[in-house]
Amino acid sequence: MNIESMGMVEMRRMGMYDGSHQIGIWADCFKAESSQNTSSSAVLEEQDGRIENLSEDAHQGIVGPSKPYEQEASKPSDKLIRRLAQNREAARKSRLRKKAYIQQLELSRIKLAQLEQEVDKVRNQGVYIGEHVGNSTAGYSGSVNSGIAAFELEYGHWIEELSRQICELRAALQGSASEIELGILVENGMRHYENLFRMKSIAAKSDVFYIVSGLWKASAERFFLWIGGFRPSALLKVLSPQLNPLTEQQRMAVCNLQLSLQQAEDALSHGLERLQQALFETLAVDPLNSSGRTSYMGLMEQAMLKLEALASFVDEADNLRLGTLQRMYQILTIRQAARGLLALGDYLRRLRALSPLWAARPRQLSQDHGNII
Amino acid sequence: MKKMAAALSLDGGESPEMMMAENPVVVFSRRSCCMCQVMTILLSMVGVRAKVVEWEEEEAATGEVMVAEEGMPVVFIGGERIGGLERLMGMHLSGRLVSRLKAAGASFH
Repeated sequence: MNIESMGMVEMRRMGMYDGSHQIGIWADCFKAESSQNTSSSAVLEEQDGRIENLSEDAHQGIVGPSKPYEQEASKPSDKLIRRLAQNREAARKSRLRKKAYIQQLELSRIKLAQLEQEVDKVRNQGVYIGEHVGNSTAGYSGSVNSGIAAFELEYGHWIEELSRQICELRAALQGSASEIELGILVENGMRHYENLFRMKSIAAKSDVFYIVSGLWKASAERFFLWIGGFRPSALLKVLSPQLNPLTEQQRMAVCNLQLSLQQAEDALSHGLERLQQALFETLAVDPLNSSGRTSYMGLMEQAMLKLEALASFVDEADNLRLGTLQRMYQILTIRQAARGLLALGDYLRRLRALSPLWAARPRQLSQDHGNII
Repeated sequence: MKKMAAALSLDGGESPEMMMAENPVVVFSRRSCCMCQVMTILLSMVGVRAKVVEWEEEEAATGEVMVAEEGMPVVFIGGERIGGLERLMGMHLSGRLVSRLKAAGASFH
């Protein structure tokens, strides 16, 4: 019977157990795998080594002297020396593995930081910086779409130009500029919005879902989203309070505009719902229907044909927005129109600014640390 | 124009012109067109029921040449071509739609 296969009981019977203190400790070690009472540093150098040692060798029983008659109380046996050496080796290997793992983690961390930087760079190339600090423009993280990238870039410039125009309007109104000067500013403002809708129309041909979902907008703006932009009726709500005093004729015209606008908006909304329904019905076919008259591709083609109408909805919604602005331009005096454009630009600026402010707000953490009062 | 009208038989052989003569508001459209629905919904909100003429794909090409220079859907009020949805909405926003409908003799519900 070789020593490795001997259990503790056998060893004790053979008189080996009443040996050195160290062997006793060894025995305790292997008796309980979860034992924490090994304080002898000579026995184990590392926590890792010990656990490994236990799992590898525990089944082999107690380590004892290789030959019972060679055992001496104070001198560690060959077997013990070998065991200690193995232990050190195992511990060393474990340390090396741990080190390698940590190194790998560090490398991954650096790579991740690099990737994040790249993503930010690509985003900022297109997305205007300005008031988007801390605001995620909702991952337009798909493959690079040059039409959309171009749109985002242009939109950044558009926002800058809008800010400039708003400043000019404010200065002109506060500084009592002439009607002619105001008229020019108003016309510029109108043309600026026309440009935006033109840009959107082109971008919608690249990716209509991007436009419909308002992905270029700040998150707070998207809260109010209606078919890829702001609601025309909401536009009136922003403008109207700023325009007093209105003549009775003007008041009636604005009122009628409000009413017809609401009807047009509702008609578009309903139409869009019908489109959604049609798309839903096209895609939601019975998966277990084996008669399968329409193949998968045929089905997808049908769906895509229906989707083509989506770009028209964006166009018509934008037409409604522009139409509202143009109608107001007809109803109002130049000065009123200037005030209206200023109010609109200001409102949009504040709405955009809400996003990063909201994202950066201090949170009220729960102070419940178990204080019992 | 009349030859083409004869070739194009709709709803029991009526030409577009006959349609327009009988109905103050007519919308010509492709089948299951969403924008056509938006038009009819808007008109019904205003209080008018439009006559909708839907053309199959084969007829649509000829129909477009005849009546819808700018494409479909197209609305005619009192026999006069108004245009597409954009025109219709613009007319409504500027408050001219209702008077136009009344002038064409449309009945409001």
